[in-house]
Order: sequence, then structure tokens, then C-alpha cells
Amino acid sequence: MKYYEKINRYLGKEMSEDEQKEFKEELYNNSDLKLEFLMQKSETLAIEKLAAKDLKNKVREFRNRNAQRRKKLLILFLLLVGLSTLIGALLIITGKPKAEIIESNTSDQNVINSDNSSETPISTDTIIDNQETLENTDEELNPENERKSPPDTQQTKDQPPSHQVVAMNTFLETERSINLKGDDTNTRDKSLSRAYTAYENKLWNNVIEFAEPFRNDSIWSLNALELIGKAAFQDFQFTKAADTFFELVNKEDLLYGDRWEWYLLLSYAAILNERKDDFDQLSNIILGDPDHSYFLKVDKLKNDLNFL
Amino acid sequence: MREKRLIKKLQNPSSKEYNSAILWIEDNWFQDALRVMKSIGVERHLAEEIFWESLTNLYQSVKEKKFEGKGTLKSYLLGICRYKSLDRLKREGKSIISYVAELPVDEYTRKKEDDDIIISEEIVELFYEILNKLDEKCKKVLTLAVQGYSMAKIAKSFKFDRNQSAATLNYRCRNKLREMVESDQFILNKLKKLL
Repeated sequence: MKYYEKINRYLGKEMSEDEQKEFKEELYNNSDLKLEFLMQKSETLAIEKLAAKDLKNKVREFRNRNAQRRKKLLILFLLLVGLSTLIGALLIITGKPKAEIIESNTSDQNVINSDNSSETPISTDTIIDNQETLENTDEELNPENERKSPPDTQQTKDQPPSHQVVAMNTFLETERSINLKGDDTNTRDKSLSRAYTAYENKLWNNVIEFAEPFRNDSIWSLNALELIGKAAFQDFQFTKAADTFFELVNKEDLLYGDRWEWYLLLSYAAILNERKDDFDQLSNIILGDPDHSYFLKVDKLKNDLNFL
Repeated sequence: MREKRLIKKLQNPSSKEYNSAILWIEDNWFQDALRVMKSIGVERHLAEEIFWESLTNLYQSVKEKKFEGKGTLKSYLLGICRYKSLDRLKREGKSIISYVAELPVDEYTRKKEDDDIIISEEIVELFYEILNKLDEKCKKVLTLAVQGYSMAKIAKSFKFDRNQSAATLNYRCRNKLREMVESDQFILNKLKKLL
């Protein structure tokens, strides 16, 4: 191994051009060096082969583990669905009046909200009730704010399309699991905080009004856009929400990119009749990336929509 | 998955992160790499082996921040696959169907193409068999060293207090491998034929 360092430098491309030339000449004239070179190069190639097999095995193992984990989650999900169907059926069989069911659902929801831990779906009626309550609050707090029904919901106020109900339910679940204020509560701009306060008070029109001036702000643009998108969604302005989240997704942010893709998908889901192709395309992209933070949620959302 | 996110995941020390990135690359780019290799004349079973060797090189380059974004990650990977395919066909004495000139020639390919001493795949396989007889510790240290890890990093992965311990282990394992090779007359004869 007396030429080890020299050969190592050659194989590692650490030699200058002159040195390389000199080395090659020596290689053809010195049989000891050549034998040593052949051995060292063969060893290197064999070790590279070993490294590749090692990596392949590790990744295969990882893939299998992931598949098993997904299978377990799916079983758990199916069990939960089965259980909730059973409870639903029992409630119907016991003949509880509808109003009572809604009432208990709403109060359950409140308890759940305070626990911040459940994923119980909300009924269509509850969403309409909530929406009306929010709009009433809006009116009381800001009388100048003209109360108008958004065009998206005008025709469907009594019976929103079922895909819209699924999208809204899922959106509210996500909202419960995300801290609205995020981690920037102390640093956010004071002017934008008016929009945050309006959001906390569920004054969607005010949120949009206060956040809009920050849409192109060099620092607060992302925060403002997310607020606008979320407020528009909850104000049933799904097309506006979709456009806003689309703008955010195009910013290609590493930290929040997944979340915005998720909100964009929910917006598409809410207007599924018009944006079915966009919904399919985006959901396929997300489901093609097993490490996407919202992979399982998208999977569930697609299943929920397929049940309709 | 976007390029920047992919690089970030490959550089992430968490095995969950980099494994998922590698998995994604395999799922999304393997077919393209296969097409490139088949067009040169590589058979499928061999192509898979070459793909994983190339992916290991790519992973290493990105992890060690040697990939400086010349071209995209995908073209870089396809460039390595192409180089390795040509190299493997040469070593196995097989004919090359066509030379795909339009593929990007990256730094890695340019640097290595000038090696004109061809070691047959048969010899590499013989070395590989011997290498597999070493203990796991030796295999690990030799693999890490060939992949270009610094002794400090190798020492850390073995939880050694001193970098010198890693260097010593690497040296001993190299010697052990060499002794095993030199005691195998069959391999020695094969190598001597190349002189």
C-alpha cells in the first residue's frame, strides 16, 4: 500500500493536470504502481456497489414501514367511520328529534373545541347556523358593514352542495388544529394585527379589508394573503379563496407550502363542479408525495368526496 | 416535489426526511433513467443496479453540498446514470448502442470519463464478494470513507471520541481487505493479466 495516498489523490481528482499527466506516465512504466492502482480502483468500485446496495435496502425498509403504517391508519380510520355510523344509526333508531340532535351536536362541538382534540364532523345545518351567527355578530359589531349573501351561496343557502359541506367541515377541522396566531404573534406588524383581530372575531369582510393593503408588502404579504384566503373561504367566497391560495402556492414557500396547497385544495373542493380538474390535478400531486404534511388529510378528503 | 425542497430533504440529517426524498426520486425519475440507460444498451436488471449506484452518488453530492445547482437534480442524476452505464458496458465488454450526446454532461461525468484503464465487472464482483466477508464495522467505515465523509464525521457516526480512531479503523480495514485480496491467487492472476 505504499502508493495508497498517491492513487487516492488521483482517483479523488485532487491532482493538478500536470500531476495527473505525470501519474499516468508512471502508471504505464511502473508495474507495481499499476497493480496497486488496479487493486485500489477495484476496491473502490466494490465499496461503491456495497454503498448503493446498502442505501437501496434502507430505502426499501423505509417504504415497507411506511406502507404498514398507512395500512394501520386506514384500518383505524375505517373503524372510526364504522363507529360513528353505528352511533348515528343508534341515535336515529332511538327516535331523537332532529332539533335535539343538532343541539347536542353543537354543544358537543363546543366541548370538543375547548378540548381541541376531536375530528367529529359537523352537520350541514350546524354550518348554516354557525354562518348565520357569524354574520349576525358581524352586523352587530360593525353596522356599516353591509350584510350581503355571497353569490356562491345565494342559491344554496337552504341546502349547500354536499361537497361544500365536506370542504367546510374539513377546513374547520384544520383551523382547530392550527394555532391561528402562528409563531409570529409578537413580531407581526401592528397595522396587520387589525386584520388578525377581525379574524379572531370572525369578521370576514373586515379581515379582507384590513389585510388587502398588505397584499404586496415585502414582509407581510404572505401573512396577509393567507388571512384573505381563509377569510374568503369562511365567507363562502370560494373562488376568491382559491385564487388567493393559488397565488400563495406559487410563492413556493418551503415552510408553509404544504399548508397552502391544502387550503387551495379545500377551496377547489368547495367549488368542485367548476374546478374538478384543478382539484384532481392538485390532489394527485399531493398524493404523489408521501411526505407531504397533508398527505393523509388529502387521502381522507378524496374518500369523503367519493362517498357523496 | 420541488427541487429546493428535495435538496433540503436530502441534506436533512433525519433518516425519515432523506429516505422519503430518495423514495420520491425512485418513484418519479427511475423510468426516465431507465429509458436513458436502455437507449445506450443497458439491460433492465443492470439498469436498476446502476440507478442505485447513481442515486447514492447524487445523494452524497447533495448531502456534502458538492452539488452546486449546475443544471437540475434530475439532469445531474441522468448524467451520472449515463456515465455509469457507459463505464459498465465498457467493463463488461458489451457494445454501446448509441451515444446520447444531447444529455447534459455534468462535472461528474467530465471528470471521470478520462479514466482509460478498464477494470472488468467480473473483477469488481470478486472484490465485492471479498468485501462482504469483512465485519459490519469495517464495511461501514470503508463505505463512508469512499463516499467522501470526513474522518470527523465518521468518528461521530461511530461515537468515537477522537477523529484519529476513525482514521485508524479505516486504515486497518483497508489493510484487512488488501490482505484478503492478496491471498486470493485467482484475483491476483486476473489483475496481472491487465498489466
